[in-house]
Amino acid sequence: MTAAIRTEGLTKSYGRHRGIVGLGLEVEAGHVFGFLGPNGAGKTTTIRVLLDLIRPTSGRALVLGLDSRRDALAIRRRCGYLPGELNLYGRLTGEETLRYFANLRGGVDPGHVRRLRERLDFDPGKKVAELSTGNRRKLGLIQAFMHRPELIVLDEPTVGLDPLVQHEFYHLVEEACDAGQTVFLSSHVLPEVQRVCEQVAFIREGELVAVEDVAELTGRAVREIEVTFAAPVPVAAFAGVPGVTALSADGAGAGGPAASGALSLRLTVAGPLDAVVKRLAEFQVVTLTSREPDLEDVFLAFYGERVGHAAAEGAGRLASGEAGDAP
Amino acid sequence: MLRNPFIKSLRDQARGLLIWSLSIAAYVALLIAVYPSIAKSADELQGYMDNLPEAFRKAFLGAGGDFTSPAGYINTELFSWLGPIVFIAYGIGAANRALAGEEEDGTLGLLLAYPLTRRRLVLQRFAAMAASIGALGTAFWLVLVLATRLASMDVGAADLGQALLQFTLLGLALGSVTLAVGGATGRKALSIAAGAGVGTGMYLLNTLGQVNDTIEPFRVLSLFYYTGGTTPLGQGLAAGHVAVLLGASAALLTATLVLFERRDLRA
Repeated sequence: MTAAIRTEGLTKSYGRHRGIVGLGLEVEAGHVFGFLGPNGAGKTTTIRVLLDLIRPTSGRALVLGLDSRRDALAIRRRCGYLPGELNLYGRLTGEETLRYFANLRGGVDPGHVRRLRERLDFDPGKKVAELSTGNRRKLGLIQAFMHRPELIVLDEPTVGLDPLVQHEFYHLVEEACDAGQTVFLSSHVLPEVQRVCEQVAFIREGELVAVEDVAELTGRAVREIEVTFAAPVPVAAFAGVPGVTALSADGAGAGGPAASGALSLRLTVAGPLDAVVKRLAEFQVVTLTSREPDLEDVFLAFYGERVGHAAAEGAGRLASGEAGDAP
Repeated sequence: MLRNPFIKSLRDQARGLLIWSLSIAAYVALLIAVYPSIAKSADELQGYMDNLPEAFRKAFLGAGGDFTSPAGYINTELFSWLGPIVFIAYGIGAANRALAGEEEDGTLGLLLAYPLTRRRLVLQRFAAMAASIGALGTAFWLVLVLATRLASMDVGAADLGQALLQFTLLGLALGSVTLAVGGATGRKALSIAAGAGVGTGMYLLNTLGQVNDTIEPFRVLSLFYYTGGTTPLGQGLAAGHVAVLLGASAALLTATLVLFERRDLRA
């Protein structure tokens, strides 16, 4: 079976901006593939090359086995696309927008469009200019799915969607996958990708860092933990705890936390939390919050040695246990 | 009503076209309404005009500055500069929305992710621009024919049609300048400035050429030279002039196709 997407040494250089560098990607047909990276990592650039909206500086991309440059028209016929920065025609209503887009595809199954509309609870009567961001995104999703394309390319699809609609969106993606369609979605939040994707590619500063199976990834979850203590604790007590990949502290008095001890700590922990929890139990904890870390920390935790200078910075932070916010 | 980008463009422009047409009708009505009183004092006016410096007269009132005949009146008041400007402004506006406008609005990326080649989009948008400028020309013509009939002015419908056809083609050609720059850069301000700048430059070239012998030979470089100068009415239609105006548009359309095709879209 041909790969739904395959890029070979795909490079796009802009003058000042970072583009993508030597991207080699393979997306199996019939799967949901996540394309994860911080904002500005090159996700949108890659997607725009796939759809021939911009042209690669070197390398090439095959979409559904077709060359992105030579067979652009055939590719677009078989793809659905939701841009990250979605702009629509303000003077058209939702209904008119969908009719226009359907006409551009030479007609689509109106029953399917109606079903999508109902499932996303989209009111097509209003002018696009009067729609909220969330409703505009719904319209964008409907047009991407409405012709049951073989490949659906979604750039940050859940931005601006409320949780209920997000949930319905995940169902749509799963169903598309069950129907044999391929979904390629970009995101800058790991949990979303973990929720819907089977495979995920990590991209950072235009370079592919790794491609992983999501099932494997989940066992190595990274969390950020914030703890405040009743009395200052020695920062060094947490530096060597297994799983802790980054650490920063807020001090209590003069000389910073290194000298006087820390009243609060921020820890990034990869893998099981057990060792950290046991160490924390030795002190008097006032509050404890745990949340998904930002992607940069995930990269550090997973691929510290592969992400260059940022890894060095992280190591520095860990070694000194310094406090960025100390007076 | 939303079959393709061509139809959609026409639909988008319908309201603007109506407003332009109504404005033209109002202006023409006013102009024709005051004609009888102008005609009465035509001799005095003519005397006043004849006393103006020749260069001034030629440049701003049309070569004749003639108020005594209906045709002269229309040439002076309507066709010497306002007529061309209406078509140029309208053409540049339509051309601007065609590519650069859609690109700056951020809708072009999604549109071109549909099964539509860039070439096809440019052709459809050019066709829509031509059709809408043509519609404006037709509206202008109908208004003038009606108004001159009502005022019993002796001006031929065919003569009016010929003059307006030249303006329509001029508007299309300068609109094509904007289309080409918009297609090449995706920038609205730049593409408008290009169309307006080229238009102004060519107008000056042609007008100054009428009063300055050094500049005279370069008038052929100005598209205004091919629209009957400042007295289009009654000059007839030269096939060569029409060919130059159409040729300019065709050349610019070709440039747009080439430049737009090879470029990275901005949004």
